[in-house]
Formats: sequence, C-alpha cells, structure tokens
Amino acid sequence: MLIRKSNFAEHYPWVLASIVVLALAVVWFVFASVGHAEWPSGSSLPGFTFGILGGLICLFEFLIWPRKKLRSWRIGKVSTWMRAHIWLGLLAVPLLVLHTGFRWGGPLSTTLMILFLVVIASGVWGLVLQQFLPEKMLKEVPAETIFSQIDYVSELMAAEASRLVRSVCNISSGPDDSDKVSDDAHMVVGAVRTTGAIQGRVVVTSSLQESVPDSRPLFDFFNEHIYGFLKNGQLAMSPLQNPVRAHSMFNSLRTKLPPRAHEVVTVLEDLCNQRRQIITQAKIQFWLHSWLWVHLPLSVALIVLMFVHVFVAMKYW
Amino acid sequence: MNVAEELFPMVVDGRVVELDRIAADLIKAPPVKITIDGKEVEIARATLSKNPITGELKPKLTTILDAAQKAGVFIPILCHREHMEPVAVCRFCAVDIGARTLVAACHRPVEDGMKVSTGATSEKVNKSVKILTELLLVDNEVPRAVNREYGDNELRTIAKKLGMDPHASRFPKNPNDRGTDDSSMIISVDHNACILCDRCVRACNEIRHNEVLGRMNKGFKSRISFDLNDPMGHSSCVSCGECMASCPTGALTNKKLVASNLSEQPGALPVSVDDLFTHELFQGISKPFMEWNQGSVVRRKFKQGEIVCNEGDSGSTAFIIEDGVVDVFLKSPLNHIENTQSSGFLGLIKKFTTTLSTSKREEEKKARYISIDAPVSLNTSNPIAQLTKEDVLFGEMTCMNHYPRSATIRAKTDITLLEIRRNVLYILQRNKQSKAILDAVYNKRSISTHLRSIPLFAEQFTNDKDFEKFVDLVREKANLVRLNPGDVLFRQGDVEDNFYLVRIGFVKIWIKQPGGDHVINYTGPGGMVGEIALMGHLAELQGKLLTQGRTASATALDHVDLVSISGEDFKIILENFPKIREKMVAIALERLTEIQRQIAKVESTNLNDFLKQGLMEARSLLVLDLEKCTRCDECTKACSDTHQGVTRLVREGLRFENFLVASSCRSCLDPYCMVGCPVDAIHRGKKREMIIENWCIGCGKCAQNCPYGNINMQPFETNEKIDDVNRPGYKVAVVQQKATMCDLCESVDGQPSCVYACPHDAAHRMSGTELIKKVESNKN
Repeated sequence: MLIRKSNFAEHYPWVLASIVVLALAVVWFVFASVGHAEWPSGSSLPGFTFGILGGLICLFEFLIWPRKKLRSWRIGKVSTWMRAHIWLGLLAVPLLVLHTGFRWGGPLSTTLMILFLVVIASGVWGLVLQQFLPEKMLKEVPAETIFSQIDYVSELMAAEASRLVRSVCNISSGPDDSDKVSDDAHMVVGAVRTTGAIQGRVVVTSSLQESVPDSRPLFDFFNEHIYGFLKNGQLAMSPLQNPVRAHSMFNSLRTKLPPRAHEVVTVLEDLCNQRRQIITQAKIQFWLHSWLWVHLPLSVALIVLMFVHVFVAMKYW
Repeated sequence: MNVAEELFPMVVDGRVVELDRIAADLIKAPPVKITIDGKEVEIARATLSKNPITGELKPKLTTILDAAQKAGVFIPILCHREHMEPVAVCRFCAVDIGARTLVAACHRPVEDGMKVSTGATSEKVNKSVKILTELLLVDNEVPRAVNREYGDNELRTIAKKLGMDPHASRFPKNPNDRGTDDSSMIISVDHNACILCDRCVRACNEIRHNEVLGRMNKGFKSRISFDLNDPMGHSSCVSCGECMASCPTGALTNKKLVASNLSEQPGALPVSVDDLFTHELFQGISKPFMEWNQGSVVRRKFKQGEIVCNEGDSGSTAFIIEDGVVDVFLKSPLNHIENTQSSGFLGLIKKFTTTLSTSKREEEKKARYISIDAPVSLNTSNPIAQLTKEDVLFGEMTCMNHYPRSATIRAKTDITLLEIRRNVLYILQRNKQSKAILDAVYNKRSISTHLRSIPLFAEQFTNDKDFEKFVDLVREKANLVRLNPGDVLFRQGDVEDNFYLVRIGFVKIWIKQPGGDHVINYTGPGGMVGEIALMGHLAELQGKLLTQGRTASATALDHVDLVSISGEDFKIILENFPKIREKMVAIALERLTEIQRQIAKVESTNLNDFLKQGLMEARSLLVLDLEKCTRCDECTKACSDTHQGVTRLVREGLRFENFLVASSCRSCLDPYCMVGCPVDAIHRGKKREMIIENWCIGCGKCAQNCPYGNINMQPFETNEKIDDVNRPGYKVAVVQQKATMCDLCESVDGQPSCVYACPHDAAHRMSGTELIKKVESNKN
C-alpha cells in the first residue's frame, strides 16, 4: 500500500491511535519498573497486558488473509483492513518487546520472537517495495499485460510473427503453433500507442505481405534469435534481451535485406521491444509479490507458536 | 398588362381557383374518345390535381394512364404516383400507340381517336416491360436488414403480376457499390436497393417542398443525394418521412430504432393514426410513416396526485400534454451531503459520520433557476412549477439523449398525456410544421425561464421589470437551432455570425493546434457559445483575440438544442444592457486566458484524447491508480467471486496519465448499448447503472454497440439436452448466452466489489469529469 503525503490523511487515525497506545504502554511500563531492579516481565500486570494486546493484534493481523479471500463479504473495505494491518502490526513490535521485558526467555519464546520479527520485517519489506515498484512498472512497462496471460501472449506473439516472416520469405513451414493463430489474411501485432495523455497496448493488425525475394536472411535470423526470444523470453538466453544489442542486430539485419522487407523488420523489432517489457514486468511482479512467500507461511507458523506459547505460559505460570 | 389579368378564375370543389387561359380552355374543352385494348373510353382533356399535403390545386393534362384506369385496364406503374408530376423515367407503363416507339402512359396526354395497346394485347409492349423489370430486379437484389421496417416492394409485386420470378434474372448484378447511409436516426438509405425512380425526389420537392433530395453522379454510379451530397442525418432533411413512404423498393426504410411497443406497457392506451392527426403537431408528418410507428405513441391518463415520472429515473420517452395541469418539482432536498467531524477524541479521527447538511455555499445563497428538461425552469427558493397543454411537451432531453429525468412530474389535475418515443420526437423536432409550433412555444413560454436559468443574465437584474424588458428584447431576436451529434456549429477562423445559448445537450469547444485538435471545454445546458468573436470590436478585447473570426471551433457531442441570436442583435443587447456587457467582457477575458493556458499545456493533459475515449460520457469508470496498484488482481477476483465466478471487468485498458481505465461498464451518460436491443432488455438502474433484464435473448447487439467492449456475452447451460455429435449415445446441454456487464454490484448491495476488495486503495469509481480533475490536480 502506497503511503504518501497526499494520502496520509487516510492513515492518520491509525497512526495516531498506535502512537497513543504506544505512549500509554511505555508510560505504564516505565512507571511499573520504578523501584525494581529489572524491567517488568511477561508475567507482570503490564507485561501480561501487553502480551494479550500484542497477541490479539497478531491474531487480527492474521485475519487479513481470510478477509482477502472472502472478497464479496461486506465486513469493511479491504483497504481499511490493510491500513489497520500495517499500523497495528508495527504497534505490535514495541508492545511485544515490552511484553518480553527485554529478555529472550526460553527456546520457545526466543523462536517466537525471532519468527515475529522476521514476519514483521518481511511485511515491512513488502510495504517498502510497494512504495516504488508500481511506479517503476508504470514508467518502464507501457506494454504491460495481465501477469497470468504472459505465457499465452508470448506464444501468440511468436506464432503471429512466424506467420508474418514465413509469408514474406515464402516458406510454408516454420516454427509456430498453428492452433494459436487465425487463418485470415491479417496478423495481430500488439503495439503500444500513445496519443497525448492516453497510452496503452492496443491491437494492431498487419496484412500478410506478399513474399519478398532474397529475404532468406530474415527467416534465418528469426529462427535463430527472435522466435525463441518471443516465446520463452529470458529462458531463451537471447542477445535480444539487451535493447542496445537488439537495436544493432536489427540494423545489421536490415542491411542484408531488400528495402521491401524492412517494414517487417520494424514490426519484429517492436515485438521484441514489447517482449522485453514483459520480461521487466515479470521481474517487477516477482519482487512485488515474492515477499508474501516468506510473510504468509511464517505468519501461519507464528500464530501456531503463539498459541503454544500461550498454552505453555498459562500451564507453567 | 399585369399578371392578374392573365388568370382565369374557376370554381372547383367550392373553391375559386385562378388558372391561366390555356389551362382553363383545356379543362373546359369537350372530352376525347380513345380506345385501350379495344375498350373505348371518354375522358376530359385536362383535370385539376390536388396536392394531398397542401391541398393546392393544379391543372393537369389527362394521360393514357388516367384513361386506362377509368376503363379498368391494368398498366403497371412504378415511378409515378397520381399526386406527382409524371417523369416517365422507369418506362414500366410503356404502351403502343402505333408510333415508331413505345410511349409512357403516365406521361403521354390523351388525344382524340388514339388507339392504345398495353402489355395484355401487345407482345412488343409485354417483352419490353418484362426486360425492364428483369433489369431493375437485378439492381434491387439486396439483402433486407432485420431491424428495418419495409413497405411493400412494388417492383417485386409487379414482377409477380407479370408472371416473373422476382429473384431470378439472366443479367449480372451491377458491380458498383453505391453504399448506404445510416446517418439519420429515422431513415436508412440503401443506395444499392434504389432503382432511381425519383419518387422520393419528387415527394421531397413537389409534395413537401423541402427541396432536400436530388440526384448525383452519372451512369452506374447515379444515386439520390441530400443537399450538396451530405449524409442524410447532417443534411437539411426535416425527416417528414415522405420519401420513405414513397419509395417502392425499400431503398429508404424506417430504422425502427425501438423495437418494443409502448402500447404493450401497463397503463398505455393505443392511439390511432387518425386520432394523432387531429393534433396540429402531427399534421405535417407523413401518414404512412406514422402508421409504421404506431407503437411509438401511446396515450396515458393520470389521476390527480399520481406521479408521471420521478427525477433521476431513466427513460427514453417524452410527453405531450393533451389535457390537464402537471406539477414539475424537485423532490430531493436542495442540501449537501457532508461529512461531519465528531467532537472529542473521535474528532481526531476524521470522516466518521455523513449527514445531510443544510449549509449553502456562497453562490447558492441567492435564489436562482435550475434548468430542467421541461419548458420551465425551477426556482431554488421554491422548486415547483406547472405545465399545461399550452406548454405542449416535456422530457425532450431524456428522450433524445437518454439523460435521467431531471424533475418529478405529478398530475395536479386529472391529466391525459401522449407518451412518444425518440424517433417520433426526432421527427416532430425536424418537421417544418411541428418545429414551428415547438419553436413558438419556446419563444412564448420557455424563453423567460431559460434566460433566468443562466446566472449571467439572471444575476444582472435587480428587479423583474428590467428582466422582462431584457427577455422581450431577446424573444424578438432568438431562433432555435438543433444539431445532431458531430455537427459542427462553427469552425475556428469562421466569420462570426451568431451567439448561442445551450438549451439541451453538450457542445465541444476545440482549437486546431500543430499537434492535433485540442479540446478547450464542453458546454452544457445553461452555457453559452460564440460570444468572444462577436465582442472583438470592444475596447477591452482589442488585441487579445487569438485569430480573426471565431477563436475556436464548436461541435455538438449529442443532440443539442441551441438558442441562436444574430451577431447584430447580440451587439444591440450589449449596448442596451451595460451590466451584461461588463460581465460578458469579464467572461470573454477569462476564456481567452484559459485558451492561452491550454495552448501552453498542449503537451500536458490532452482533453481531446479524453473525449475520444468517451470518458466525458462516463458516469462510473473503474479507475486504477497505477502508482498504488500492485497488480494483485484482487479487483478482478472480487468481481468474479461476487458474480458467480464470471468477472465483469478486465484489468486492462488505456492509461490516462497514471490511471488505468479498466474494461468495465462506464454507465455512460448516453449509453449507445441501449440502442437496438430487439427486446428492450437493457436499461438504466436506480443509480443510473446499466442493467440487463432477465428477458435478454442473448443476441449480442448491446455488446456490439458498446464502443468500449464492456459488455460480455456469457454462455450458460440450459435444461434442454441434445445428442452429443462427438460421443454417440451421450447427451449434452444446450448452451445459450446472455449479456452481462458491470451493474456496480447493484444486484448485490450497491457497493462495487472491485473497489471494496482492493487492499491498496488503488481502485476507484469515478465519473469522467472527476478523472480529468484528478489528473489535473496531480499535475498541479
């Protein structure tokens, strides 16, 4: 969730509430420690209270997962839950530290505290990434597509490009997935278009051209570099992944081809450019969501261990 | 010798008709005797023919066709009708009079002792007519559109009568595609079905005297044309329907915009065409056209106190008051919804409560008039007014542009109304006779409240007497102008002629720039257009105008009604009313500054693109803030979860600065999807969202019409089962489809799930104008 000056008003109530609770907790904790050699432990009244409060917050934090899954339930906007999740989660850190009385305790409580800190750190990491990665994606990936459709879009791109190249080079067979392409006389070339403030990936069709003599180098280049890159992206280990290199390779290809084939080269260059953007999108998407693979399972483990900790603490108090 | 001395008065049907000497002599001459296919017939040399519309009497020489009809002999005719001047272009009525060539019976005057053979007795005539028929049938062999209303195809009827197969011909089809013209709301033109009989041309020019239709091109490319070859909808055609009613082949057809019949709705009483023609308003319209549109006008009776329509309701009809008085008022309190801050600790946490506040902004404290969709405006201090039969019509804006009803209408006495569909209103507004009535009503009754609803004028007068003086001056000078969507009112650089006040609809104001057209603004009801260029002579504006003539261009975005005041009259108004002049100058300077600011920002927000994408029309866009959106797809998943596993939005679309306008129903102000549904199953809901009724037949017309691809056809299995062709012995369910679209979750609880489920506060619903404001505020 993006937190900026412009939208801080929406976070303000949660920040304020967290600061107030924290201030009260610190005052109480300091007050309770006056005249004692050690900080109040988890079993002291303030420590116990902070433990219960922190535990309830952890439980609430965990509940955002089912909340997000129950999308059609009207139990508060998910964005409101998320704000609460962020600020109460951060509040839980000092509360639970106060609960420990600055002691690690036994192996269980030590594990629990480490787990808790890792969960918090992963959450903060995710939050930090959300502050700039969406903006990066906005700026660097105008050809963005839906993440789950990347494989399909890539295959389609490769197949349509193959049809175009074969028609220009007058070659009947070649590397394509014939079931992915239509039989009509046009091929679909996705393109990024900008008019004024509007920008987006639009469907552009290109008519299949009549064959161009002496265009065999295009077919060879396509087979060697483009097809694999369009279809498999990064996995193809193609030099086209580098935009500067790609530009020079396409320029060199143009010198080997008659001018009539240059238009097709431009189309292919544009497709490769879009494919590069999709690779960037996949990378950004990975960083935007990969932290959840740490945050989520550890949160589950944290909740389980928290209940074990509660049970053990109650039993041996 | 003066002209009057040349005329000879005659009494015909109780009326004195003045004829020239030759015509009078012919009418008074003794009858002639001719023989047609062996039958002798005696007939006058000339008669008086009556124009069925104007009642005008004209002398007409008796033709062989007139004689044959009197003798009961069949002669086929196609290009001719008895109330038209014969032109003999189709030669269907060819007969043999023993001359070197065959002659046209519709055109050839009778002569005493003439012997005539028709196709029934002359093989030469019969062969000639059949070849002609065959050739014309080839030209007319075009598929019929399903959503059109066709009259009888007279050509095919004649072919059958001559014993020919109307669909078989030995001749190849004309390879030239002469095209179609669907620009008129009412009439569709298929030039390929036209056989150039000129009946429509004569109907327009001779019968109606509209002088719109003519011919263009030569040879195979010949076709009818409107004005100077303009599209029909953009021409000066008044949509009287006479050409359509005259067309013998279905080249001019009724578009049947609304398939559903109003008379099938509860409380609707049918109205016969004869009944309609007792109303002065309908008397200028072609009778066959009204017969085709019978279901488009119904009568409704309301008891005192009953509600005719509520403000905010969606609708597609207008009402003509036949009898009684209605109250027009606003039910909604004229208050703001405001968030109030709680006191104490809760006060620190803002936006906790929402209440209806009676507070008013400074500009709202003065009483003013609200422009509504009726011949009256409502005063904010007491928003109620009455309409009577004298006001004729209300609900035009809803009917023409599908805007929601702007006020509540309640029967003050027992009332009778005629409810009319858009196609009928369109004709009433364009037909000369009806338009004159409606314009007179505006000039007499509405102009005062319309001017009062324009703050510029209303605020300049401290007493009603001065204001009435102003209204009287404007009344003398005002003309009503109607524009179709896309019509250009004026272009940048044009010589300034008129000043316009917008009554209904929206006008786009734009300028031409090296980088393309640049939209400055759009002006809606209560706005004014074209004043800057007319004030160029004033000292305050000297040297500040950007160009000679018009400083910008103006184009109608939808069906627009304007009040036009000529430049000279506008200058008189400025001279006579210094306060208005002062205010006008201030507005003009402000607008010029704004234009200059816009030009400076050519590279920034492009309103033109904004309009091109139809965003201005949008009432509820799903906008994703791409700086906040983590592409988690929760919005799509939430939509899918809410609507039985099928999402009604796709997180793809065009970006507008940092915002992605996702593919989801925009609840447009003018929803094109509503036009053409054959079962009238797509409507506006309570919150102006689009809803598809359960009687949708899955034809996909709405999905086709939606310019933004936001209606999906969703397949579903029916209870019916059929044999599976791939697996003999097995059965599969029959799959049908229905249209689905975003209904803003109105079917659930009215809170769009996509927005509700977004964890990052990136998804928002907003109107097009709110989006542009947001983009602007982000820039500044």
